[in-house]
Amino acid sequence: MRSTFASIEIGRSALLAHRHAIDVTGHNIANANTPGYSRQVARLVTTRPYATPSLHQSTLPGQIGTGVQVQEIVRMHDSFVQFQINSELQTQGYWQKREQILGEIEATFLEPSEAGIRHAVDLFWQALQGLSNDPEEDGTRAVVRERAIVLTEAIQSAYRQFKPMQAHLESQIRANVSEINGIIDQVTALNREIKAVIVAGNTPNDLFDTRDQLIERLATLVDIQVVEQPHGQISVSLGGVNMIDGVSSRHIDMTPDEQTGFVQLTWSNTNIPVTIRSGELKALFEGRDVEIPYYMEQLNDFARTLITEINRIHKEGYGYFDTFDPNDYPDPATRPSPPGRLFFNDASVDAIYMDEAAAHISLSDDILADAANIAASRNGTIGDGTNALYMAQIKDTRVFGDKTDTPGGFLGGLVSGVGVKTQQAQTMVLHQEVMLGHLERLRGSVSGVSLDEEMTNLIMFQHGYGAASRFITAIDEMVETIIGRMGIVGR
Amino acid sequence: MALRITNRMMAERSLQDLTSTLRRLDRYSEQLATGKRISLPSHDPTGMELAMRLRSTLFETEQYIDNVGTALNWLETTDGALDQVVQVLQRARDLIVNGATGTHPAESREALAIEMNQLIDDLINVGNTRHGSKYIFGGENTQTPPFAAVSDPALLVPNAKGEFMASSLTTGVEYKGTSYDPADPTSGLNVEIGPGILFRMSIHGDDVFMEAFDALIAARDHLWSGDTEALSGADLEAIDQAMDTVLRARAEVGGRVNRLELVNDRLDYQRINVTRLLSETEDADMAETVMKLKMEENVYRASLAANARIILPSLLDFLR
Repeated sequence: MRSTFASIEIGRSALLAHRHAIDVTGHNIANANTPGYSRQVARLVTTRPYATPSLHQSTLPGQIGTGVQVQEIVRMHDSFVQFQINSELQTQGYWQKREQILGEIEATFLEPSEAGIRHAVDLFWQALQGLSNDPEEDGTRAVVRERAIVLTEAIQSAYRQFKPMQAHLESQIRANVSEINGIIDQVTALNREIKAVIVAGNTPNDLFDTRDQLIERLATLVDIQVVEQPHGQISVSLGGVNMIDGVSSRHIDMTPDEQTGFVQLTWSNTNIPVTIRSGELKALFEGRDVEIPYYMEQLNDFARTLITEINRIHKEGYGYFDTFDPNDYPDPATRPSPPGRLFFNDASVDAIYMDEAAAHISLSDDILADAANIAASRNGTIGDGTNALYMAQIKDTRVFGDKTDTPGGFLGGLVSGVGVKTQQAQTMVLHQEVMLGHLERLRGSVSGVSLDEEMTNLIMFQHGYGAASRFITAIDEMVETIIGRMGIVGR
Repeated sequence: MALRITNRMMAERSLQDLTSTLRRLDRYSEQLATGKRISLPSHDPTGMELAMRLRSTLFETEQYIDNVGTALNWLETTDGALDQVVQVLQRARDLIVNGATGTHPAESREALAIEMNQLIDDLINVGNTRHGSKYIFGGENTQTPPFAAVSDPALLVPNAKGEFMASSLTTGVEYKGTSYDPADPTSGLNVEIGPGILFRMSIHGDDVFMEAFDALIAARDHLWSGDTEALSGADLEAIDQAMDTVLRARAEVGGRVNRLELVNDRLDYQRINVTRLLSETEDADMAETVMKLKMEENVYRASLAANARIILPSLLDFLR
């Protein structure tokens, strides 16, 4: 036999459940634009019906429902899509950073423009041609000297941009590693909290969302592997080493390299180097240790070859005041030999001029002191410009880049090389954007908040709530009849 | 699976689409503003390399055209000088023929000798012709006059009366320039008229003038001394030979000018070609770019309009 007030209990459960569901809806609406938020759904189920089968079973026919309850609040979430997003984020982080770095390198060459090294080289060859046509003129010599200075400055200024770029990458690496260590701490703390909530029998939906967001950021930085563990915890590993394992964690240490001063990464309290295969950090390391040193070395190589080749020819020629009249020396053996002056400073002046040629390329003191010292003459006569012509002809000789390229070809190859790499990075970034866009739509489809849907739910729950109140009022009136109006016969 | 579409998804999607349209718009307007299709290597690495190469070729070609111009000027001066030499030799030949007739009195032959002596000085002057600051006939010795008169009073020849023509006479001419060495490809003054192609523009004075000087000096002395036999014999022959040599040199200059003109035409043609190629490689096709820009602009406007319609209304707008 059911109690008189059992029906009120049904009404009460309906009121509570609808209030609860309205709160969940409100939470969804409130977080409609929160990044990383997964919509939540209050799962309504019936309470245990009356009565349960037993010996002393009620004699009433059928089981009667006893109301509604919110069984759980479910977080709408597709962990496979999330897994895919995490792995695509690594690739995207890598290519995005790489595109940025290569874009900067590409810009240092100032091509195509009249400010690049190629144009300066062209002007230099032109000046040497002019000198070979008029070796007697002071003017043509001065032009060669000025254009040579322009050329050295063009090479130096391109080269000088690489060092700050490298230093900038270094500081980004440091910042990223600190961020990773911070995320490790936060995720470990969240693991602990989540476990506590789950052990207590609840689902910490919002904590999951926060943790997913941290993991996403971590995945953009490095190529992590995420494995789920009991009690809602996760472990995160990088290159086979667990950085997060439940509530225990391992940080990344930064040790400056003794030679370069750049940091190298090791796992905290060990000597094991951190292996990174993708993500922003990989691109930063590649930029710092591979790309920038490569282009610096290419410029050094260019400057070195230029210095060697020009000097080799220049040393065999005669400057304006070294020239003589061959008729004064009927026997060629007695003629003055070339003074062997340098055009550019080289290792014979100081080793740095060849070691880091692009940074130090400069005119020799002889040339700076007097443009007349430019050795235009090959055979020692004043009107001979053959030596200048020989120097100008370096433009067509394949002595650059392991003796396979002309100077113009070498520079062209260098610049178009970085162009190709940048273009590839740009294509990959676009590709990843499309890919991630698709995955995020998939996730949004499951986890995103639809305001239309929430408003519909709101109306639904509001009406449910209203109806339940009306139900309680009806029961109230019925009970009022029993209590207030019955038993007053003949009064 | 039919996607469940949420408001945020739509907002993000339209933002993404708008961004990529804007990116293209930006690129086209950059192309229009600079007039260049390529403003960074990554816009077209291969085109970029080609453009760099063409630009250097253009630069180089212009220098070669410049060099050809220099050489043409030089040869013009040379030809003018050689023409004067021909005239001098012509006059000298007349004098010799005149003096060789034997019917002239000694005085008139002496007058011829004095004129012949002036012709020698004239010839030295022509030999020392300058082009700009350079002596053209001295080979690589461009700063010293290539021909210097040598006078030796002891060698002076007296006339029949025992008189001397002048106190100092040119008895020989010394060549102070350099000689052409056929074994050395860079001998003489050269300009580059193509990659690695040297063009020798100088005519070495010793190849052209020395015979003429010798002939003139001998003839003058014979006129003075009245040796008609030598005049009509050896002297006439010598001056004809000298004339031949000069004419050969003139013919060579003419030939070189012809060659240079051909080279010049070719270089001009090359310059036009390379300029056109360069423009095709790196210049933006204005009509096409404007059209593309307009198309992108339309897309952009359309998606803005669509977004304005789609994003704003939700169920909220229709609940009281």
